Amino acid sequence: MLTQILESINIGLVTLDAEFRTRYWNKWMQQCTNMDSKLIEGSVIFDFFPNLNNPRFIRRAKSSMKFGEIWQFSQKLHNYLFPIKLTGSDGIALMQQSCSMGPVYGEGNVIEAIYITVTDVTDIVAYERKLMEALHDKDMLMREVHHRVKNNLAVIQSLLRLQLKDIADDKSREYFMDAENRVKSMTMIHEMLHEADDITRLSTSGYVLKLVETLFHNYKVQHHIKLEYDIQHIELDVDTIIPLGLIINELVSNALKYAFPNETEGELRISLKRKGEGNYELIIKDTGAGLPEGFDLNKTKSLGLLIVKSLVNQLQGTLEASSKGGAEFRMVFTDKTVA
Amino acid sequence: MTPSLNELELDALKEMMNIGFGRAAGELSDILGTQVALAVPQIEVMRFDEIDKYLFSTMKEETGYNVIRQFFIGNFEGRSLLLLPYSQGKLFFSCFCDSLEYDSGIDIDLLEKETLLEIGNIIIGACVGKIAELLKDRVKFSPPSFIRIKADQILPDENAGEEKFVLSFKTVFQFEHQNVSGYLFLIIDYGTAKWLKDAISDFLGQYQ
Repeated sequence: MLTQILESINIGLVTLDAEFRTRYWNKWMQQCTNMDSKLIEGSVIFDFFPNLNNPRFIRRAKSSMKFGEIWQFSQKLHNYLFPIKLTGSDGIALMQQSCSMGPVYGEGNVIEAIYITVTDVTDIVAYERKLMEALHDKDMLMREVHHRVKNNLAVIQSLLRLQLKDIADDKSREYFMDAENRVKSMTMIHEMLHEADDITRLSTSGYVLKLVETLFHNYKVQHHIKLEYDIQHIELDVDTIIPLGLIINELVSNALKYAFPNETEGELRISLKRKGEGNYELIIKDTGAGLPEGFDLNKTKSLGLLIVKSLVNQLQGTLEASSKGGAEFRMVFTDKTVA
Repeated sequence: MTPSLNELELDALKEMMNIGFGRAAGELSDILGTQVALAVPQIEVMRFDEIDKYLFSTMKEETGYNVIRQFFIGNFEGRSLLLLPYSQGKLFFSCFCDSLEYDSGIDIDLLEKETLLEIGNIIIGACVGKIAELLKDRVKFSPPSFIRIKADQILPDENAGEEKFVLSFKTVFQFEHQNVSGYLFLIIDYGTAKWLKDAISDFLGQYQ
């Protein structure tokens, strides 16, 4: 009865003796390899499958034979034990196999042979490869989208800059420049995402420095403002880093515009650090003129700060402002993916 | 309650283990296709809940361990844990695996795990098999499993509730010119410990 099952089961079954001679070769193996059991039984397996004559297979077989060890030959690492050509259209030339090996005990609990089972996992591997390809395609598509968004934002930025050239009024010029910087802070994110390994997360360390340097350049800051910079390497979700970039853009722009009038010397400190599990703290502090007297964050009408407050709400964070020896903004927020 | 071993029995156990490991080295050399020497400088008997403290005090500088776990079944029955510190795992890997044999796309981490599992499994088979043989027993093995634990994590044990008896062997493996050390723990329950005590006294009886 057992032989009937072994001959009809949808799994390859082989037994080998201590000299690696084939003792049993079931129907499944005969059909898949096109080798009759009469041909292979009694012969050394390596004569038919020289690929098995390698240290890994031999040491596993010997230890099964000697100590009764049980082994798995995973498809991920080995692909197959018995090379079997396929004619299917999945682009996989050889049958992918998940195999196992173990001892066969005879009388007196003595190991007489080892068995090898062979399971065809080609379908699963083909499916996995298709999924990987689809994932890769999605990744490429997302990159392309980031690239196009970046290009479109860059066009908007150029249009604003072109318009700026024709504006004589200082106040209006300032509005255009603010708008251009806001667009720029987002352009940079899409540019970095287009080039990043992971298109859903971005590290703060590179981005924040680039953003702040651009602002220093745009506001033509000479050497009178010293930048102190302490940004931890934190990977944030795109949905977190875009508002965060805009917030930094507003607060740093404010400091560069108002804290140090007439090129008075001072310092601007920016720090971004982890604060407990999934929480982060951003501090932007200057040593300049400080906030206007009677300043109340809740009553401010400044567009920049209104934008900041709205973005802090979007990040479900908290914002505090104080004015001791300069203006200080302290924000605590959570990354979207962690929350 | 765990059955304690007196000094004579403990000495006998050490003696048996050294003979067992000596014989295991011979078979390992044959199977691994390289000269293997095994030394067991330290053998201790402890309770399972003492292992973590023991590891902590003996391997302070380690950041974590690769653990190969396997059940053995027979009169001598229990669980074996082979612990290879991360640093030693890398040495093992370099001794036994030429990653150039594999596709360039192969996951090196997976290859390292498989190699450690394989060599660990063979070592456990040789050592436990030989010890059982000396005790006139023959054991069968379950498929091995592989776990990575950090130094501050405790060893996994599904039956922590039961009182367990642990034979701990600090083992130095020498392959060609490379020394690699690890720890082999054999975790047995009260029944097997009692059987072991009797088997030791039989072993001693041969020389009296």
